[in-house]
Amino acid sequence: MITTGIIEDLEDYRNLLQVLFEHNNGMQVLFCAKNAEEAMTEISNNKPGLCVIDINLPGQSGIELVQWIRQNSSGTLCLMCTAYDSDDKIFQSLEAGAHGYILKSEAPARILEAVAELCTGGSPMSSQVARKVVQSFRKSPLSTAAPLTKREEEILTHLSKGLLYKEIAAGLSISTETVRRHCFNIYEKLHVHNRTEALNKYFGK
Amino acid sequence: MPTTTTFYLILSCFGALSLAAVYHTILYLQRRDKVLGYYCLYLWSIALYILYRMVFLNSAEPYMYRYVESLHLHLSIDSNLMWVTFICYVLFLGNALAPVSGDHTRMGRSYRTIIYIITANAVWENIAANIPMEKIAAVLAVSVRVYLSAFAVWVTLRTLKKKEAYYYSIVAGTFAIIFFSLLSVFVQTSFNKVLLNINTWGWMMFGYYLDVLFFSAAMGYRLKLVYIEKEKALKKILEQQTLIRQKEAASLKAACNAREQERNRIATELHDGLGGELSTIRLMAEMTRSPEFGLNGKYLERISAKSKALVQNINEIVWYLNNNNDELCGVIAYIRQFAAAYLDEAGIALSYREPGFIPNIKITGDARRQILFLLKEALHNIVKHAHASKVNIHISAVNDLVIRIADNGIGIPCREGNACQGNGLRNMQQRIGLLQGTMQVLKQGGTTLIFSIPLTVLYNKNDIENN
Repeated sequence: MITTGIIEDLEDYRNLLQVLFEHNNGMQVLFCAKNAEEAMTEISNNKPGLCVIDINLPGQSGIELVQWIRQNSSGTLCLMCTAYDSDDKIFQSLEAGAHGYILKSEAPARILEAVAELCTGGSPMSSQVARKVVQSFRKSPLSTAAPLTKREEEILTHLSKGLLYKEIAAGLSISTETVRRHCFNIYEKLHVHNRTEALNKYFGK
Repeated sequence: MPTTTTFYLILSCFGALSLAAVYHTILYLQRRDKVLGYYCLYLWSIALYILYRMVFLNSAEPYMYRYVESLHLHLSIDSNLMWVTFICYVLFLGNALAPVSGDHTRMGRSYRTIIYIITANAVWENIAANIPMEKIAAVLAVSVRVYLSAFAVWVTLRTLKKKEAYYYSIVAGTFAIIFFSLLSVFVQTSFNKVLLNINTWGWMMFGYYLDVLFFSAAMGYRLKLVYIEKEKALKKILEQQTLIRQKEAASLKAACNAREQERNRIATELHDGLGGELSTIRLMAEMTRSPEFGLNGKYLERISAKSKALVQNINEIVWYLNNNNDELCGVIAYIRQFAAAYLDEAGIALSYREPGFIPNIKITGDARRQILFLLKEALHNIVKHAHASKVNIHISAVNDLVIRIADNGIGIPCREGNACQGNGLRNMQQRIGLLQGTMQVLKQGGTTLIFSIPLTVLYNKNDIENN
């Protein structure tokens, strides 16, 4: 049973998501919030397993909410919800601690798939996000805390060149789920890298 | 003993001279003009010389050679002071005429030689004061004087080439001193050393007086010339500044215009693209709602498809408007991903060959938009019309960005001749023409489109931060 929280300021979309999730037997909606402040109160009380967070929230942004969740409810997975996959905020949320993202305009089945995938440790990564991840790792060399494995580096390179999951999977003789699992892990390392960077900046090298 | 006339003459000339010296020194301290400085030096050396003579000529003490106790030497101080005035005169003349001479180096060298000769002669005279070498000393004295006069005459003749008041004054001054020096020598050697009740020294004073008169006039002209030069330079700087400011204003205006054009273009795109599609969606929804039109749920599927396409369109706009996405390798990755997803959905196999080397440059948003459009058009044609099963895409970026799209379909229907231009192809030609690129259409086992755009056109020249 996946316990979820929905944080979305567009009322209609929020309601539709709630109906969609509640219709699914494997999922339970713990709360719906229309802004980050409400969400923080609800999460403190309810501790959901996964939160669907709109990237454009009024008041405190979705990115700030992600940072808060990582500090106060680290067991909760964060799935960002965005209208455009070219949005700069996607990478910013991933850097801040989000685990994946979905497009708002996806088919309902695909949305449910994405939620289930995230719970088993799989994430999507577009070519733009991949390039930004590469840049982030290149800007300051990876600390020994979280180096990328060879396979992860391979996948990251292929993604940043614009290959589809099925092409990468075919090329490396693995399944697309495995590709997405590697993406999930890459994001985890991005989080560690980002935290180390922030600490380094704070304490000075 | 000098006569009264001579005495008064000397006194008045000395007065005029010291006045000139003080005045020009004050002027020099204000203006700091090099030639003026040398002139002041010359004036003070003459003043000192005349003062020395005034003190000693009126007394019984010898003025030509003095015996200095501490050195046990006879020094020809009088002569030394005279040579000092000559050196100052030469220095002054050299600097005053500097802009005149075409062959600057020859004049410069001759001036330097003069100074060396004068210094050597001065030293020699001191030596000669202690050693009786009268004949040789006399010969040397005369020859040095002759040489100096010749030099002064040569300089004067050269100066006459320039016809300006400044140079005329200097020539006049030099002429005056030459004339009166010769006259005083003449008086010395004849006429009982007196002419018109004035002795040799008196006539020399005349020379000095006129000389200083003309040179001071020259200084006046010179300062005016310097002032005019400064004004010209200032004017030139102001002109340059105005030009720079104009250029800046023009470029700002151009940037403003470009931004305005871009805004208008985006507005048109949203207006044309979105307006129609959204209205269609609305109408579909409304008519599906009311049972009277008998539209079944099929239109709901069309509403869904249209909405998804609209989101994708806006996503692309977000992509090419965002300047963070402008790196060439990012652009190539984006269009590769786009092509792969699009063909995959249509069930067509893609064979992609990526560029070996991608230069690290940034592409303007407008160029990205056009490239994306061309790609979409080409792929759309393949999916809708070509009935192809396989597509080959090859991208290279050496001097031009070359995108080669080859399909194995039925080819573009052509009536006759080489110019096979359906509406879509003509549109593509236009677009690529805007980028100063070319499009080739080949028909070999299907259709091959080759787009080629020079990288210099795509390159973002307006990238202020990185240029």
